[in-house]
Amino acid sequence: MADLSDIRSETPDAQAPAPASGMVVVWRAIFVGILVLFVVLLAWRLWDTNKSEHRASGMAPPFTFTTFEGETISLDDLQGQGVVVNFWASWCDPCRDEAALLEQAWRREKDNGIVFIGLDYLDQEPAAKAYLAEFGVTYPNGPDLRSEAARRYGIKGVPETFFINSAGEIVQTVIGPIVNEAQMEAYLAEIRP
Amino acid sequence: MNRIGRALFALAALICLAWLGSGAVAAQDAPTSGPVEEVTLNDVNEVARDLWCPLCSGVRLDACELKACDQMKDVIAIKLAEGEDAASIKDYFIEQYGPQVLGEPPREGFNWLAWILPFVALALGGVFLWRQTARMMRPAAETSAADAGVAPPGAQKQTEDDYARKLDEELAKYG
Repeated sequence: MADLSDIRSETPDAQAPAPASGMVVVWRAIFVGILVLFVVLLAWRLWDTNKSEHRASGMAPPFTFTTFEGETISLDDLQGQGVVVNFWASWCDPCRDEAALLEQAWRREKDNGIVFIGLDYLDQEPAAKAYLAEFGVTYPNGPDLRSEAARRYGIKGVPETFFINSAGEIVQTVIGPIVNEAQMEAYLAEIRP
Repeated sequence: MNRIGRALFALAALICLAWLGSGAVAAQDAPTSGPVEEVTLNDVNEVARDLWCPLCSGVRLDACELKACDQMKDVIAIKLAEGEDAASIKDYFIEQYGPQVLGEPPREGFNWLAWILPFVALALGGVFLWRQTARMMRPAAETSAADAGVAPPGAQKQTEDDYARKLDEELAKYG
């Protein structure tokens, strides 16, 4: 015998979801998925950008550049020597305050195992060459293409100067121009091999 | 292909056409190469307006008055005088300063998101509108029944008849 529960079970379920609601769920899932993916990608980029914006310390980040004369120089090739890395630009007025002192120190120290390197930051070659000629700069200088070295060193502007010892460690970072000869001598003493 | 599928296909085709069209217009706008006898400020600004000051935030090169930007404009003038076209000058500045110097994100890597997301948002918005419009255009009774998740009145009456008939049959057996 069939009881009433059987009869009830044969009755179409009035509360069954309409077929369209399944599509709505799928669309909602796609939308939320895209939103979550977008937020995750943005967060990752933000984290990555913040990481690269810290000013370099400890071991000096490696870099390679080509001078205005066409010579390619890599920091790795200068192991065992003290290195002064100066970020500058021809449009930078404070850079002019230290240009003569840097050249003077380079001429004095080049036989003492210290190499000076100038990296031209966000600048144009004609103006940069005119600047170098104006101050009679003779140590290796070249453009920091795409600001790759600037980003690795996390500079916030120019001039900034990094003093790297013969072991490849950054021992001093100077933000702004070095105008004091005694100060320059003290920094050089720390990186002289 | 259902209606939504056809709508998505049509939308994608429209987006592709618009994109290709904008590329063609951009290509037509580019100055032609060849030696230029006299470079005017307008010629320089024509190229500079597609570049951004590398030192400022959100300032176009043609509107920037920094010394660094003046130097960039000088270089643009030199290169135009030498017969270079706008595309090669832009390539030169990308090589110097990186893709940030462009007024638009380069179409590579993560930057693709900036190009794709607006179209994705447009497509999703279009589908949403399409569905909403289709729902609004359905007969009111059908819509309310569908919204309530129950069968239309005719079908409901049929169900009630079947139920009553079956109940009568069972009662008759024991009556």
